[in-house]
Amino acid sequence: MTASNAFNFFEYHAQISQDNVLLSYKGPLTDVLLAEFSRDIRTKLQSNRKVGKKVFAIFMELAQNVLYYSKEVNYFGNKDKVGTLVITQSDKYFTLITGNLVYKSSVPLLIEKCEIVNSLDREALREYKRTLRNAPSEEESRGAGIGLVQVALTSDNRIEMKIKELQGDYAFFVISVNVEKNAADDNEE
Amino acid sequence: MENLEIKGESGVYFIPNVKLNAQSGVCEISGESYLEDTSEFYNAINNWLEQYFKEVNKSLTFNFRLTYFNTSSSRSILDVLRVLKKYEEKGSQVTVNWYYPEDDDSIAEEAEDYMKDTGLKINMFSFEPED
Repeated sequence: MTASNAFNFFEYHAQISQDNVLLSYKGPLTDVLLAEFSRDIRTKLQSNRKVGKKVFAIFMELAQNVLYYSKEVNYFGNKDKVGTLVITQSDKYFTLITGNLVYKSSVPLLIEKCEIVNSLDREALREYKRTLRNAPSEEESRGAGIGLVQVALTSDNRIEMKIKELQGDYAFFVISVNVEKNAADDNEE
Repeated sequence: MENLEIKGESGVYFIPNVKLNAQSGVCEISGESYLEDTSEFYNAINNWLEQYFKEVNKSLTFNFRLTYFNTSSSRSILDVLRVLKKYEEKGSQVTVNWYYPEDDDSIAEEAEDYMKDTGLKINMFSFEPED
């Protein structure tokens, strides 16, 4: 029992050492860190410029969401928001995953936003983005909502959302999105 | 009237190059836009434009040559275009050119969407981005 419950550092190290993990971070997030990560992503993906730019742009929106909205705070230093950022790759996809704490009370709205985004085709998504952009920005929302719509537009894929309820007022909120490596030029309408 | 020039840089944030020229009436924003205070940055551009149309009011050409901007910047760009539209409707001669990287469909789509939002005519041109 102890063996399976204990954190297996060797296993963890083996997993993140594989080529398929481009970025794996859990901890306090700052704008400085985010800039460094984004530069690292661009450098690593510069051989596939078009797709690299998509991964970069999606990373920026998702990571900014974590930076603004995470309800987990590191009380050392500057009370930075805490979150988890992961980018992996398979033969076909880059996958971006972010995780952070949210209030349980925000969960229904997050699920609803995600379901709306996934129900829309490209034209409808553009329309929806325009509607959100034309509306006066909400109090707590530095352009969020639009961020998710933009992620769906840029990735040309569904946004997967997972929520794990924790004890107390919080839930762990995970967003995952795939970007195809060989994005065919199929955007011409 | 003074020109407005901002030298772009890529550090913790990505600041675009801005060149607003009151003598020639040619304005350009280029590079990447991801800013600490997006509204403040673009308000400076809007204030300059307001002053230009009030004091100089010759024809004006605005060239957008951005290779990346986040959604927060995209809101502010819409505000710039709205200012341009406002003065076009008042009779000023306004030309808007939108240069998009040839390998980036989404920046081209943005221009189409801005046209729908503002009713401004936006001329679209692709360009080959440099590294």
